[in-house]
Amino acid sequence: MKKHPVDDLFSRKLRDAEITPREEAYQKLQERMQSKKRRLGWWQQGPWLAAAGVSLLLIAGWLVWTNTNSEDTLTAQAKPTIESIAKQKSAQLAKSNAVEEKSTDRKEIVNQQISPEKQIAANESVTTVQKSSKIESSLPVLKSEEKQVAQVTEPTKNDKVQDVIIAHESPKAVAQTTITNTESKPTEKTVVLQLPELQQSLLAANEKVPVEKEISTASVESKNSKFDENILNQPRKSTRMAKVWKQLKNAKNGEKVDWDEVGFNPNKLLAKATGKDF
Amino acid sequence: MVKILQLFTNEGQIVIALQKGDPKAQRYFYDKYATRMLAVCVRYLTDQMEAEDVMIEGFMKVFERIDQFKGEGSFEGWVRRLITNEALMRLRSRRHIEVDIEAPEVQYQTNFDWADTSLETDDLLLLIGKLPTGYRTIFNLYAIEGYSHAEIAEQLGISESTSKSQLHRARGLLQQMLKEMESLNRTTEAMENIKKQKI
Repeated sequence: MKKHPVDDLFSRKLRDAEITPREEAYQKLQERMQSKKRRLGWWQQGPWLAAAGVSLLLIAGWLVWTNTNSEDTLTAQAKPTIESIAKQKSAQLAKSNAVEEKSTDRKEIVNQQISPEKQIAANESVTTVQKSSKIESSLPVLKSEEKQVAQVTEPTKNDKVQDVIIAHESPKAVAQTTITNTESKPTEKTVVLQLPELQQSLLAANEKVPVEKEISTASVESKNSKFDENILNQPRKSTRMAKVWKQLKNAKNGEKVDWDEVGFNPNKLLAKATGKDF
Repeated sequence: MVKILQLFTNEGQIVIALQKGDPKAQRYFYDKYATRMLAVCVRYLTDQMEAEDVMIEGFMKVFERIDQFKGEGSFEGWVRRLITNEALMRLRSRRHIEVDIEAPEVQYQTNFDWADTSLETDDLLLLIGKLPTGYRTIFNLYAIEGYSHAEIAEQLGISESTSKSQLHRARGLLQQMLKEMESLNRTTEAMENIKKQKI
């Protein structure tokens, strides 16, 4: 298409026309570029800002979670059923008390159906079993205790017919516990400290047995009351950091760690899962 | 200056240096293109101070968006488009572009020979500057930049037929003014010649 003469004239003459700008023009350009660079503030540092925001959210989330969770664990731990404890064979320090309770239950079953002569022997064996489980609960070596608990808890799942066999097995347990006792001499101190408390609970359990035939419910109640007492006897006056620090110290010294005080319980999830299985 | 010239012997090298934000390259680029781009801005805005301001803004855009230049087409063409857009934005921001329908119809003199016109660049710029803004913008875009009516319609947010009619009227006005100026130039030339002869 032929170009219009007017278009042609102007385009020829003006397309590459040149007008020299003033000298200041370049300075102006540089100044504006500088000020534009300066205008790029901290809020335009995209990735760093994003990272900061995410970490802030995480911290805030963790704080809220731990706050609400610590309240939940208090109520949740007062409720665990005897079944959940029976299944929980992994040796966790926080649950060691519950395991002991379990073994007393077994002892109660034995007591019910074994003849008076054997009852004394059985009592003795059970107390030693108690002892051993107590010792090993404070031990870092967990395998031996797992075996022990397995031996103790398995019979309870079986029918009452097999209870006599349990009575026969208990001496074996005693033999094993004596061996483990010799192995675990360095932790003897903690055992001595915890024994009296243990025997008291044992006695209390024994007293209840003849009255109630539904052993499991009775033990649940006794355990619940024990937990309630624990909570009531320990008013939460100190700050969270102080509590956590105290429990850290306990863990460092090989003493029992109270997970309620820390604010979360590693056993909580496991207990819930096994509870559903039953 | 000589050193700078030696550094950038071709367009590709300038582009690469500009992409790195090299201040020497920016200076070289400015020296090479500022005069031509200022002329482009003056064609659209007529006021030289405002045109200079728009040119500076346009150069900043060039430095900012230099990464977007992929080497398709000429570098100068790309720069020219950016500068033109900047000028159009300025016009739009000041609501300069209005469609002038009332402008008088002009008769074309199709056999007029423009080739040997004595009018120079400055005169032609002056004539373009006398056009109403709407006419001037469309004439600039179509006749000098080489945009199509479709492109102009999209750029200015008008219909293609409006663009065509505006161009038609712009041509008519320019022709009329050219004629007048030519005759005026001839008379002044004649006057000067007479004066010289008298002396």
